[in-house]
Amino acid sequence: MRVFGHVCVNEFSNSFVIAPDGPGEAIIVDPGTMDVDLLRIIEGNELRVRYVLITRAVPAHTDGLKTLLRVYDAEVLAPTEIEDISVSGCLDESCSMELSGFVTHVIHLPGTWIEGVFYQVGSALFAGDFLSAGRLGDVPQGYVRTRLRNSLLELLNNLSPDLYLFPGYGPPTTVETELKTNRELLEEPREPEPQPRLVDDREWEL
Amino acid sequence: MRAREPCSHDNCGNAAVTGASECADHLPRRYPQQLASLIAETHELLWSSFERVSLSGLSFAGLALYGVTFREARLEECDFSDSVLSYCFFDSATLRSCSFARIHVRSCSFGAAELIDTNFSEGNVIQTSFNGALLQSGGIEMCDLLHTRFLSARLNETRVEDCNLKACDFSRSTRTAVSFRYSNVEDATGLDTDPPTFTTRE
Repeated sequence: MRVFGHVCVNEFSNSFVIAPDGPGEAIIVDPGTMDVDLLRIIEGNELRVRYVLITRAVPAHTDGLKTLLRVYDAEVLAPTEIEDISVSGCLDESCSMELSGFVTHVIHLPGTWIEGVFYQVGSALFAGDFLSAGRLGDVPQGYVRTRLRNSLLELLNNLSPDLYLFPGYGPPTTVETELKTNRELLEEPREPEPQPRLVDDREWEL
Repeated sequence: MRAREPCSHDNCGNAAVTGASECADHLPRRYPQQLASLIAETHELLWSSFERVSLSGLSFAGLALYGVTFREARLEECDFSDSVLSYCFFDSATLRSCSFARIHVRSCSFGAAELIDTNFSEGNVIQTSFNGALLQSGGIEMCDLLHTRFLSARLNETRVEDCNLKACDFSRSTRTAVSFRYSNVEDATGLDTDPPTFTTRE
């Protein structure tokens, strides 16, 4: 298995092409743009895009989809619906499937504010917006952040430390390096603070 | 996390490298002369692995390295000059007296690596991670470091001179005797800079 990386210049988000060792069917993760560089990776290696995996349905990861689907007859798999795009499979829970000969694990982290998924293909983990090298995903401070950190810590501790981690933004890293050096992740894990109670309308009536 | 055993060498108090029975100081020297001649004949190294080995005096000069892993390796006096490195992983490796002159490094990881007396010069080191790394007695000079991260890194007696630090992140890093001469420090995150001084006219 080979993984080609591509940085989308408009948002500085990362796209990845998962390819076999020779020509054949490929999978694209988060096509934030469809430009000449990405086309060169695909065509230069004699690949045919068969599947598109979206870690999170936001423009930074999906803006290249329309152009890509005009060129290649590919199936789109995403955690939620995408505007104006026909999604073949909505991945609303963790599961495993075989795509173009690659065993792909879909990993959900429910309740973490980010409506997205991880994909593990071989020794590569595509983390989308959940995690970046040395940083947690961009979520508000407080309850949400604590919950995301606790969930990520539990997930990473259960994965092989040798896994390569390809985030939606920033440089690549490994699971072991994140568990060693990501200070945002390694801050003392604590219980999430209780969510603020919504005030009932009747309580305002004195 | 996988538990680490103590190094099998006598009187060695270090922990063994993951998956090996030796620590980084006692890793076997694999890839002998044949490897050097093999690399000399090639123009690119793709998806190769040099994990947990000790390489000394090897020249990777003028090569395109894509998806090459040097995780937990020990590289001594290796030359990467005039090379292009993309998606290369040097995580937890030890690089001593290595040279990265006129290189183009993009989307690589030096996470938790030790770079001792190792120099990067006259090139690009873009969107690369030095998170948790130790940079000791070396330097990065005349390089574009766009979007490169030094989170929780330790920089000792290091020169980061005449570099473009736009969108660089040095948050939680510790820096001792580091020179940022001629670099645009104000465009980086996590560097303590003197507060701006204002003069008012009477």
